[in-house]
Amino acid sequence: MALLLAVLIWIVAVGLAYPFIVDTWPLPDTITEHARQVDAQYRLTLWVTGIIFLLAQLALGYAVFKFGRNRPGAAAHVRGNERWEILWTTAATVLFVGLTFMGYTVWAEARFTESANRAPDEDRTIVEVVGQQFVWNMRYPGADGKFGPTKIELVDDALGNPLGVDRDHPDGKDDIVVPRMAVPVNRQVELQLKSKDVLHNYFVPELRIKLDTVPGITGTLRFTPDKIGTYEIVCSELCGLGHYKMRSFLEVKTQEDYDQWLVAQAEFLEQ
Amino acid sequence: MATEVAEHLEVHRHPEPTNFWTKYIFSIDHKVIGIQYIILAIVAVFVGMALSLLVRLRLVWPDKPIEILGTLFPVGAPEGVMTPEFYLAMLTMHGTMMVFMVLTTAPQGGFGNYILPIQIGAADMAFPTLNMLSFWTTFVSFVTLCAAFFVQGGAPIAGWTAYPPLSALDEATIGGYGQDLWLLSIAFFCIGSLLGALNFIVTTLQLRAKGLTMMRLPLTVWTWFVTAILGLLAFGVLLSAGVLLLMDRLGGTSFFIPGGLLVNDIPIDHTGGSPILWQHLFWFFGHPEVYIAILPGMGVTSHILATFARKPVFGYKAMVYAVVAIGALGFVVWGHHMFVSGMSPYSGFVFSVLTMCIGVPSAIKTFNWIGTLWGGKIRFTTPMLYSIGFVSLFVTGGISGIFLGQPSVDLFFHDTYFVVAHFHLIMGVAAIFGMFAGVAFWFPKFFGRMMSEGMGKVHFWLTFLGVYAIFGPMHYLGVIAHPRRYAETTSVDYLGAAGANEIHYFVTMAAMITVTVQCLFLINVVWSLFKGKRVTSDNPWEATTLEWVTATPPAHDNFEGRIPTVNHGPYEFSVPGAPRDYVMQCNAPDAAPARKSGE
Amino acid sequence: MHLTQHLRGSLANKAMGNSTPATLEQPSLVSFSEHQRIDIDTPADGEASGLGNSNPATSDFEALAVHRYKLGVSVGFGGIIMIFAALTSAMVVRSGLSDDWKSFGLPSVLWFSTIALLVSSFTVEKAKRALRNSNENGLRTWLAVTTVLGVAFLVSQWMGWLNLTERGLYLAANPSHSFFYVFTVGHGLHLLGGLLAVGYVTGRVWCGHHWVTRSAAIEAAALYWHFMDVLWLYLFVLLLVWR
Repeated sequence: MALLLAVLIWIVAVGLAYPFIVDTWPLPDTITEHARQVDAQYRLTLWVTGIIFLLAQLALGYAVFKFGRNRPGAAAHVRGNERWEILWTTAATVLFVGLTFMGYTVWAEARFTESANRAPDEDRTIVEVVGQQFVWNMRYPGADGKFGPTKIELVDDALGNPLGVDRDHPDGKDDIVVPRMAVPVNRQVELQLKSKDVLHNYFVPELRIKLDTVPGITGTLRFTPDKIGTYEIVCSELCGLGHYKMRSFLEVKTQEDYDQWLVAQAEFLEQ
Repeated sequence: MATEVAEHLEVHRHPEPTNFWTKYIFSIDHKVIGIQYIILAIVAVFVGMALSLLVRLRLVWPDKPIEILGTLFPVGAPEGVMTPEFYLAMLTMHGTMMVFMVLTTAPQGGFGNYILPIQIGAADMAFPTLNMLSFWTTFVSFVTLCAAFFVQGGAPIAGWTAYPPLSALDEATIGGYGQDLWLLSIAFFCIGSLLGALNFIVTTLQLRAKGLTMMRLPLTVWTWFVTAILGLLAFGVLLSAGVLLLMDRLGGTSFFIPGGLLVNDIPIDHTGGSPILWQHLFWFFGHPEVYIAILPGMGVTSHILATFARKPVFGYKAMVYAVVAIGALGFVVWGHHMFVSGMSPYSGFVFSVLTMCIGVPSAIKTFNWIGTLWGGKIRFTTPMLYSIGFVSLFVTGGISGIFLGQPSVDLFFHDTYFVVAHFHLIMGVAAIFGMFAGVAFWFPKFFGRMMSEGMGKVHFWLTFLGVYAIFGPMHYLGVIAHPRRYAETTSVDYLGAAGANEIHYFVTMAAMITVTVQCLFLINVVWSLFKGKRVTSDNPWEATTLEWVTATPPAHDNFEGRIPTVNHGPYEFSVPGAPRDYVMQCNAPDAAPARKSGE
Repeated sequence: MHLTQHLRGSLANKAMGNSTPATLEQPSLVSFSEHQRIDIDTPADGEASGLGNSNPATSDFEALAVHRYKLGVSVGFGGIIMIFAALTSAMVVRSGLSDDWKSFGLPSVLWFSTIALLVSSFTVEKAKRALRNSNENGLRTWLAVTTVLGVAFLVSQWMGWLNLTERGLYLAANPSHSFFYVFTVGHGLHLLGGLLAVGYVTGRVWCGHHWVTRSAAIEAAALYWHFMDVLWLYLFVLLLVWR
């Protein structure tokens, strides 16, 4: 019985850890420097916790196996051991809190948008992302670089104005609204996340970041993609019955392709 | 006349009931109420498991017609194909049923109610009538929750966290009264739990037997006591939040609904509310709720590990302080559920540091459990197996929290299956193993018969493997960025490409087998009730605490008019020089010659 | 007095006799206390009046019951405080985050409510004093006055709500009104519970009942009543400042 239980605990522990060790199911690709930093922090955590996990499970199995009923002698009347207790309390504190502090810079890069030394780039591409049940709409400010005002009364999906952009306003005249997102490679992108109805969440696995789109609030995310390709944008906050099919695409293009794409969209708007 | 009154006064707190209704239904006896809570939880857990199976089936065969489902749920699964909204409704109800009606009721209201007064040497809870009221309020809550299945529009689909505006606006869902009933049910549940918590706290503080100091309390009592304090401070907040959300739905107020919404092209006539406010209030309750579910399991595990390792609990004081620390820290970490909601990054960092601090007392507990086993003479009874299983599951479930507590890594894992794996292992399955252990351990005291060891062991092996097979692979789904609460994987290309479907298939198979195995537990309970081996002693496990000196099952007033005096610490096993390898708490002061009582 | 002492001894013996020592493992090792804890919830009306305060067993028991009831009520404060703390933080956040917050004048009848409740706190204290001095007439009078003042408070709050609706300020008109209703109705419900408790003991005292947990019930009801008073003062100031 003791041996069986011990072996079972060991098998389960090693079995659970094995795919992590050999990377059977690898993390998605990374397309920003920040994503690679997240991965580094993830790997570090994986090492630290993996060792604690295996040690704890192996020790549990060993104790079960070793101290069964049939061994000779009485059970030890031990109430504790202060030295050991202080040791593992200190070790746990140092490791766990240490991990948080090590991850601090990565978190700061992702979210401390206002911090002085992380001022946004001047030439960043600004895109407004608006979630609604169950589609994403992206708005580009057009040639003037300014978003026009929106009005609820003007919203009309059939007329191709899902966001209700005021086309009579000089700023809104050239705003481009598309269901897919395109951005130039190696240039900072700033997303302004909004929602028309309920909570959604903008998640691109390759960026390793996600942020809720909260109605009434504009959230900001900045990243600099460095790999050309097409990536999926999925919704990661329960938003209703179509939650699972709310997705779009993020296309990272060369600067030329991106410029062409913008021109094409603007021409489409003219018609 | 005076004699009768005096006798009444002295011997019984309340007269022994004579008719069926006052004895078994509207009983004020803490033991009957405890059993009632456990029965409620067992009913709820089977409903909850059935719901989870529907969820699993939908994930694996999103559009394959399953005839029987079409017959059972003509609206939710027309022609046997479950609709996405039916999937979400099942998911919501599964979460609510399990978190509230199972994980909150059985460990505390069930085992705590039955065992705590006996372990502290009291005749009943401090307020027996209030105790009855707590249970029946909880029962009304359960009925209200079940009613949500049967109203037009069906059960709510906003998840057990009920984030507005989705939960607040009928325009965003199919509508109907499901969400209102859900909120009403939660409100009832909060009231029942608040009354129960009050009762537990006063009982522990005031009704302890002579000599039973706080540092001589069994760890079970400590965890029930701390859980009660958490409940007292947390459920009021959820009650307030629930009432505000209900008013947003029914009264036209705008606490959580912002202005300028356009849902399905319908303009919403609300202004200025804050969806984030709900999240703060909800998680201020929600995080302590996690500990409300798991702490009693920790107490039962500590208790049983010491009993069957025949050793004192390793580091009793550290265990007590760890429980108190977990409870206290539990109130200041709610923000880690909201790293991606757009909160200030500064507060995100503070929440992260505090969250990681909870890892420390949890680690202390884990190491002390292993320390308790180390050097013991382990008796592999069924309750012991469940408790060892608890430790293993607690480690596995806890360790993934280290990933999720770091905001940088959480930005990737948040709301993926990694989270699903984490909380199911630690607060779901580990807590359930604590309850399995509790049932197997106290069954002889409840009913005077042992549970079948054979069936119990088979159930343990299969369930232990089963739950790892279900929730282990969900970590990998998280690594490939599978968002949770998706009705199917087909609409996102990278999921299928990375192998999500194969993992889902495996998990569903494991879930079906494991759920089936749970019937064995039910059969064991029923079989043992009638055919189990009769206990020959009041203390079949050779344990130390006070519940083992009373009659089996205990008399109406627990100690037949007498109150034991406590002379020893709770876990005096294998004391050198003692005649047996255990010294009961109420044994004479000189029963443990080698040492003074365990303080 | 002697009778009770005697009864105690014989009962203890009886209890020992009734129990089944065979079921107790090694009974010689198990120590039970000589002293019985006395707890009772079931009221023993009328007949029990023979057990006056002079009886040591009863007064012992009463002291325990008073402690337990008061402890129960005090612990309950924790839960109630959290309910209103949550609502307060919700109000602070809600009014700070949005630009749709409109102030409004509180109904002046609330001042009357406040005075009625303050006075009732005073009268319930008088009732408690009368109880401790075994002044039955005083107890009856002050309890009755407290009940009447409690009813007056609720009626006055009702008038306040009527006043608001007459001005067209309904629940959903503005978040400031929503919170006003939530706070006052929430407090009103809690106070109604207290009023039922005070009314219950008043009724029983007026009917001449002596029951064993009488002083516990009165002391606990008085404690709860004071808490409702303090809670209302807090809410009133909050609403005055933040409306």
